[in-house]
Amino acid sequence: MLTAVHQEGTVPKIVAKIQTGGQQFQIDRQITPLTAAEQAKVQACLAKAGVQIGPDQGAGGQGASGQGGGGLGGGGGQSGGGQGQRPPGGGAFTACMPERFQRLRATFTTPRETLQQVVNPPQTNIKSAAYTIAGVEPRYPAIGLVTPALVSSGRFIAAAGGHEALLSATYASRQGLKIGSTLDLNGTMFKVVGLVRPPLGGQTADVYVPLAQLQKLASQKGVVNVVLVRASTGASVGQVQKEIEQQYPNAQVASAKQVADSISGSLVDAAKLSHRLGLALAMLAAAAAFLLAVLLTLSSVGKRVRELGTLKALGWNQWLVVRQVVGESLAQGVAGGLLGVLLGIVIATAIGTFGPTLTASSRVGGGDLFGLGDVTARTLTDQVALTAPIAITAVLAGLALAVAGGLIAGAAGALRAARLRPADALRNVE
Amino acid sequence: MQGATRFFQRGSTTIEAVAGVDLSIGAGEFVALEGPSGSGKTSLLQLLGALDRPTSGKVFFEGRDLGALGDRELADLRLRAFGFVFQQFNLIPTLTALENVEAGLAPVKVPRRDLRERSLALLDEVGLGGRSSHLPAHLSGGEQQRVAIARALVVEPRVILADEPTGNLDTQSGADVIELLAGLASTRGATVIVATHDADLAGRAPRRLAMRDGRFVVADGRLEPAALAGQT
Repeated sequence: MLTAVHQEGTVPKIVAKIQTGGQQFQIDRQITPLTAAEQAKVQACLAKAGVQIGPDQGAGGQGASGQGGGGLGGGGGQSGGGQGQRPPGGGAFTACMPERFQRLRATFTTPRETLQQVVNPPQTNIKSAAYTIAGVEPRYPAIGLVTPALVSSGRFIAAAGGHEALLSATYASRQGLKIGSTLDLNGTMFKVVGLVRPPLGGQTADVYVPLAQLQKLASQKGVVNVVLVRASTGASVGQVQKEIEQQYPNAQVASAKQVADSISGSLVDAAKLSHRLGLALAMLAAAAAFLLAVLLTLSSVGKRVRELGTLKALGWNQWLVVRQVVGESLAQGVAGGLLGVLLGIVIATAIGTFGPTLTASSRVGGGDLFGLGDVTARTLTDQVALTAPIAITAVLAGLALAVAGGLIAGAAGALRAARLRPADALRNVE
Repeated sequence: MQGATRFFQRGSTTIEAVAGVDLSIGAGEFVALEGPSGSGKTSLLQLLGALDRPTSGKVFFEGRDLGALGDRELADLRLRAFGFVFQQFNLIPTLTALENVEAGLAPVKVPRRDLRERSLALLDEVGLGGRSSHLPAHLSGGEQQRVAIARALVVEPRVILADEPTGNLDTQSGADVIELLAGLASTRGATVIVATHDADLAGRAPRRLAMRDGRFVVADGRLEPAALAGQT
């Protein structure tokens, strides 16, 4: 049994344009001034070229020799400052300069920059819906998460175990699917052949496919995570459960009873209420009925004082009179019991016919399947129709109670009748 | 009966219903106990018929002290030796006339057929042969009383005690019943004791005893106070 995610929608293309370049580098560096040796060279070169260094040659020259850069600058400036005087022999001048004045060589290291551009994800229309999917073994349909008996329409998966699927009836109606619809599971198409009503409690799923197919789809060949065990007798269930728990300590073992206990809802509440109060109320009702019978019998004997007295006068001894009263009461008890049984059967049949319903809900699959946690948990609610089954033990118990009531009332009446004296036959004139 | 006394307690009052009566009645006698209501004649009848026990004194029947008998034996005596007829007939309303008569012998294990035959014969004797299957509600007062007499006779009693048998009957029916009772003494040899305030009925009895306030009184010159010797 697994959780699957079904996605629908358009797959988006995410494009991010990143602009680079266009950055300007400004370099401002002092050029190393002429060394003395270089100056001498330059002068020599210039002399050779016949270039005279500008006005105030000496001074300028001296000034220029004092400061290399300034000299050049001065030289250059002076030569330039000659008010538009063109530097004499410009090309030769340049040619006499040391190499580094002729060519600028430097290694520029661009500053490291991290380009960051936030990519706004575009809106997509993908919808994801989770559902549970379980595998059933179609070759052994009698025991499984769903069985052929639970198919509400359509049919069970064929024994061949092809690309057929069963849907839980509620899931189908929620999703608008029906028999004949196709399901796309990881690219494989499955045809819905039947709808099932999974039983309340226990592991249930929305979609059921052949076990082998599911294992293939989920790449879990030969692996199962739910095992259903049927014990040979109802009594051995507890024992079997213990053994399994010992053998597989990491497994979650639940018996049908535990599942049944997890069912809640008005059905269970009503059952609990009737169970707790039921016996007390029944006993109370029986006691009240007994009391009523006793009182009525006593009253009846009281009204028949003359009649019973006459019997005594005629020679009926105590035992005969008592037997008469008890016998009458017993007969009434039996008659009442039979009537009660009849009434009970009628009412039970009426309940079965009109079927008032109570709800029962159960939280299923709340266990941790492969670390999926409570994703698979959901609450199933079912409507359960009330039935009042007629148990033979209840009928017999009711009859026994009625007879007992007759006896008790008869005993009370007999006590009173026994106290009557034959003279009462004459005394009670009115 | 010797010094028979019967007290009743009603609250703080003690009523002496029968006060120290000595009486002897022989077999086959027809005796009438006369007196107004409250004279104690009913109580005396009860003592005679073993329906009640005296507070003091003794009652004998056929030589036996009734006081020495237990309740069970008294009941048996009432069954076999005495027959009772009541002022209000006291028939069981849910049984037919025939069944009422049979009820008289119910405690005795008599074969059904015999019982039925005997009962029918008795009903014939009292003149109700054709009404045996009627319920008491469908019988007149006189007829009911006759059924009661038949019931009393079914056990073949030695003594028949009747308490105001004509009290609830009209004159004609009453006369019939009186005839019946009178005949019983002579035809069956049974002792008949009747308590009544009906002078006609009392007049039919050869022996009349007047009672007042629990005692016998002298009246008409025919009555004797205190101890009376039985006449055959």
